[in-house]
Amino acid sequence: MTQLFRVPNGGLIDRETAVQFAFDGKSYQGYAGDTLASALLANGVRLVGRSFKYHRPRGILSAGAEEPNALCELRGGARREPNTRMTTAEIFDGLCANSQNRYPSLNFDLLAVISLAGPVFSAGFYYKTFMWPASFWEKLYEPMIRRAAGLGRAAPAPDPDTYEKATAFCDVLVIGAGAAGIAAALAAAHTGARVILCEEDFVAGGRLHADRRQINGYAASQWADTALADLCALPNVTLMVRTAVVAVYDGGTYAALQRVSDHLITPLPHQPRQRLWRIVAKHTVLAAGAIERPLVFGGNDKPGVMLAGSVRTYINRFAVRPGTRAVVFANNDDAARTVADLAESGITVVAFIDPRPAASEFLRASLATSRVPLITGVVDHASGFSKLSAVHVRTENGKLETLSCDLLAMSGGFMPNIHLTTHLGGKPVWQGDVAAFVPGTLPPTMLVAGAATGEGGLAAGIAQGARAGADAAHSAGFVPVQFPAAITVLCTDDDALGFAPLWHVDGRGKAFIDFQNDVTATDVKLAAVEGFRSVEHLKRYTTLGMATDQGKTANVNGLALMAEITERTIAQTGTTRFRPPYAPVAIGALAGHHRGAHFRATRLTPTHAWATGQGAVFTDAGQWKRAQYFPAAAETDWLDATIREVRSVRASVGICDVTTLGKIDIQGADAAEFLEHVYTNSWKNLAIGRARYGLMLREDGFVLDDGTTARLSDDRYIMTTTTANAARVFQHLEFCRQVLWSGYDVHLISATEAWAQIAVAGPRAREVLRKLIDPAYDISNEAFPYMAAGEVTLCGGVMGRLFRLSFSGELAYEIAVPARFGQALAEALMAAGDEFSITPYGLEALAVMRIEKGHAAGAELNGTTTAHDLGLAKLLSRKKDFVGRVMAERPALTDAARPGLVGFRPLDTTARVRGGAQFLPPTADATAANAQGHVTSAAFSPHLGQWIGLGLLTNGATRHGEVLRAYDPVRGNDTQVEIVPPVFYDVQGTRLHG
Amino acid sequence: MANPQSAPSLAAVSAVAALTAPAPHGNIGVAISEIVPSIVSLAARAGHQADLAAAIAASAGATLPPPGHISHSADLSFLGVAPGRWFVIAPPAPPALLEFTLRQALGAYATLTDQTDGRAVLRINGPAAVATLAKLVPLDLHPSVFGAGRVAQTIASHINIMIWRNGAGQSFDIAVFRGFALSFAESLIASAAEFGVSFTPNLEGPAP
Amino acid sequence: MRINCPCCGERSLEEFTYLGDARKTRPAGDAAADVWVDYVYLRENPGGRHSEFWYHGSGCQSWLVVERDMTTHAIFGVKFARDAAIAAVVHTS
Repeated sequence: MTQLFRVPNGGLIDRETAVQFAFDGKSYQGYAGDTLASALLANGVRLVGRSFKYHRPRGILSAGAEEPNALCELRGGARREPNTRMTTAEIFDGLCANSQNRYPSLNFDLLAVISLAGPVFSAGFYYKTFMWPASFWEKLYEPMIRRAAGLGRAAPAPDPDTYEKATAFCDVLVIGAGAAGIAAALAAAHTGARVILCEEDFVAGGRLHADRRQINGYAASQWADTALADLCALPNVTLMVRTAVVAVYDGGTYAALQRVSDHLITPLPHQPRQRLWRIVAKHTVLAAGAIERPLVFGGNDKPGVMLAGSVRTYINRFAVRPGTRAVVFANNDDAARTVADLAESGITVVAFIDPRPAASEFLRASLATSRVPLITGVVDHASGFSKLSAVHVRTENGKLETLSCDLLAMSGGFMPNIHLTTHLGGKPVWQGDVAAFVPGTLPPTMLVAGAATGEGGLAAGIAQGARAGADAAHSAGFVPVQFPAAITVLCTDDDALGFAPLWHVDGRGKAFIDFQNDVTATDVKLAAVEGFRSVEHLKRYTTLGMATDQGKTANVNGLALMAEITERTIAQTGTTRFRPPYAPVAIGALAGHHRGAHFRATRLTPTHAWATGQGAVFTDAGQWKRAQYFPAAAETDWLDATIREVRSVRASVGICDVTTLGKIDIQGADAAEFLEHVYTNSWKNLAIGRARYGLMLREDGFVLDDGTTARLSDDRYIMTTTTANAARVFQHLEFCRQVLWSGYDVHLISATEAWAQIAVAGPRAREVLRKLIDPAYDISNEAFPYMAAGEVTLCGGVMGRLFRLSFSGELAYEIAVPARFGQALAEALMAAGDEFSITPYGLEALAVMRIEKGHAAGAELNGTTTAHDLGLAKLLSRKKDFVGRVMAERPALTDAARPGLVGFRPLDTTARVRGGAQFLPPTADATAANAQGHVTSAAFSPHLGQWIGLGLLTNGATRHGEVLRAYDPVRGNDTQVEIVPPVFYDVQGTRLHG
Repeated sequence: MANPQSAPSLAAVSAVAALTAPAPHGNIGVAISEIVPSIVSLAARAGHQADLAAAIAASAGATLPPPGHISHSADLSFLGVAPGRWFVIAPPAPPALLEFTLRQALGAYATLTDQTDGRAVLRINGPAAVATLAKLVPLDLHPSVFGAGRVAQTIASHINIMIWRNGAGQSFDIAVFRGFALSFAESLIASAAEFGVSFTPNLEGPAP
Repeated sequence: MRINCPCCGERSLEEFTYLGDARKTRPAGDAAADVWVDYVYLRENPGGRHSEFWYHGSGCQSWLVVERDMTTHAIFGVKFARDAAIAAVVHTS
């Protein structure tokens, strides 16, 4: 099929580059530089979609980002992108698009029957109808409604493309590269300011390419090209096309979506589909232009009804005739330009319909030139089945006159594109003389220029832009200079608008206000009749402005009608504010690089590669990957591996990477004094070369964290924290150091990653270490007893630190070496322990052994437990001030009835209990009121040959020997357990002193 | 303290040993390499900042820079990262040697902690270095803002980093906590891919 | 939101962690329980200017006091909490 509606000459299309594309399975040809909308129009395709609720045939309303009708599914398969505006989608060879919300096909849509039943589907229909019975909603109504009403379908498979995020900085950000934006960028750039000019279209220039205007004797399009070339030649200017600024944030921060590859069939190698920019600008000029307002009359949604300015865009920029026989209906003089352009491109213009009683001289002259009759009156309604065939005009004497046509160019005035001015809460202000909401309170560093201010005029827009650009640069610290010539002497043709409001024609048929959400004038009236007054309520009740276009073409018409019906002014009625994003943003762009394996940053221990080689299964501990268990060849179950690992440690020796525990190097003359404040127990008397368990509270008296701290020298301590709380504890300690006790000589630095630290646990631990630690160091039980700590060398001079600590309850050490040696240390330990069948063990085995020893860990240090709860009250010193001291002594926190730490074992030795099970008295009903505590940790104890666990139980310390129910309705377990002391293994602690 | 100069028998392993280098293609807009400088954190003891500055001037011939700036002596670079706190960067050396040496000269006025093994350092060099880093580093790296002698700590790709410019050219060093090195290097290489990227591991590994 | 750290310069929100009311001063260790309850739990939430602790965790690790308008997010000043703490001590003594 050839492009029958293409004008032979002109336009910003590349006629040398023909592009093949398909719409609804049918092939067409367009040119590079076309949008999907312009290419379809060039091929005479007018019907492009079905509406959201009534399945009405819809065509192309606009030529830009405001498009509510012409939405399609672009591409197919995993790249299918629903609700894509055909008016912004560039065509490319092989493009494949499909219309939406039609069944079975666009031209024959069965569900359009809904349209015949129109009155039923009025505002609030779903709320009113599908209320009863409630159970029907989920199973019946919702799926049905979802099938009938809706837009495009999401892609059926994960997006195969990549997305990126990036940050840019500038002195002046200019949003919109139309006349005002170009002038602003030029003016700012000439001061030396760094300028970023963003344009959402793929061609910069805005309406300069859409209108046949003159600037300083040049065609506007040519002026734009020259000015843009000048801009791009400046090293301090970045022009970003295909980049929509979609959101404004505090501090001059903007989000901008760059559609890097949307105009290509697939992204080039290593290129993302879209890139989300964060632009940090000292000052900003918003030159986003204005959006033309539709007129509200019956059948104003018929394919062939188009905004008057967009008609010019198609004719001038795309060299497309959007129809053959046109009527123009407008309440302003701007549409006179449409008449001229229609006539120029060979389209018959039947009449100019004008509701204003007296036409201006400008309008009369234009119409006379084009020999187009002026009819004073309104379009009562438009008719035609799947596309426009006639408009029915009510003239000033009340007669109805039918004009046959296939294109109606309408203009109800202009709405400044103020979307971005409201993101920080700025309330738009109604300006009566232009009948539009104009920017109210602006974001602190934003200026507005051009049509976005509500003031019309090409010359005025350029002058305003230049001034705003210069002012923005000046505010950013740049010295004003003379404007470049292009924006200095301005002479353009006339810009009279002569606007008079016409909000609604009360004629025949459905008059649409919000095309995308199928909200009609009747719906707004109904909302008013039913008592809705607030615009926010109107919006939610009718869904006006809630579609993917956020009501860009709809809001003001809706508000104006509401004002009229409720007999208020538009200013009194008010308006809703816009929220980010201004244009749709793919979720992928928000995620950027962070998906799949890169969902978040991963942190690897120094022995990660070694553990991988040992067959470790890893688990996430915060950002860390930690070995969970090391399955042996015959083992299929994590439990088998864990039991073997525990038995090996208890019988002989095992190793476990504990690098992830937070390590904080604390140095300074007042280090001990500082520790006294942050820990509950005493530290000044800790000898050099010794470690001690410490407990830390929050200021509210609850436990924050625990760990051991070793004293390496007179003024140097190494603190360990739990893995989970490492960052939090560091931040807390810095608060104590900088704010609470800021006079101390003490410094903190995280040393977590500097050292690879490996626990060597089990009765043979000393024998293994003895082989590695250099002979000069005596690590006998006498010389290096439990809780000893010190610097050593090993393997012939590698510096290390040795701590005699035990989490497992066995004779155990933690040996640390500089991280680069971590992997080699693990290998050396394995070799040295070979004769003892040394076994690597993971987090599961670690957890089993700590539960057997009754050590509190994450499940017990859960932010709601106190030192008393955990049986650690003896660590609360009474001789000093420490964080949490006063609040920890509150009666409610020391009440024995609080849930305290207990151990338990099921009476049925084969029964398994899981964390979260509730403790209930044996005969009590299973209600929340009867719960007396819960299981915090559970494990299979190889030592006892049954499941055991720890829990928090009211009055726990006094209830050893009692039998309770451990009730777990979530996983269907209910078993009797005996409450026991929370130590199951080596109660006297002789093994760890061995 | 143990004598850090005797020869150990444990092999050193790079923090990015597991990194798969990208296949070479076209131009190299960004060359990424692993470097292994010695790094020690240095903080002035309370009331001794002037003494510390004097000691450094006397022993190293350098002035202590304010936060965000770098000063140099013959072998050492002092990176100002916080009020009264610096990182000292020196050529590769055995672990703790730099801390040991600095402690001899400055121990009375400063607290010192070896960070050599706590960080991995990647060098990003080439005409597309700034464009690559724009995808990761939320800082203005324009030469007028972040020129020669500038250093900053920030967050990139959800990972805390320290970044400084080498000389006045298009070369930057980025230090990350060692455990994040692989994850960060992968993000870096992915960001640089469109410009053409090479990766050079430290073949000798860290200094023994 | 961007906070102008007195050490690092203007940085984006993601580098910072919020703690809360910076007008509270930690009571003496022997202060009465109700004074402590006030310090730990009671918070002003003014619809206007407020003084807050922020931690520059991804930067210089300084604790800062940020003067901010809670309704507009306008920031009036940022200083080191250490200096603010010292100033408070000087002021009350």
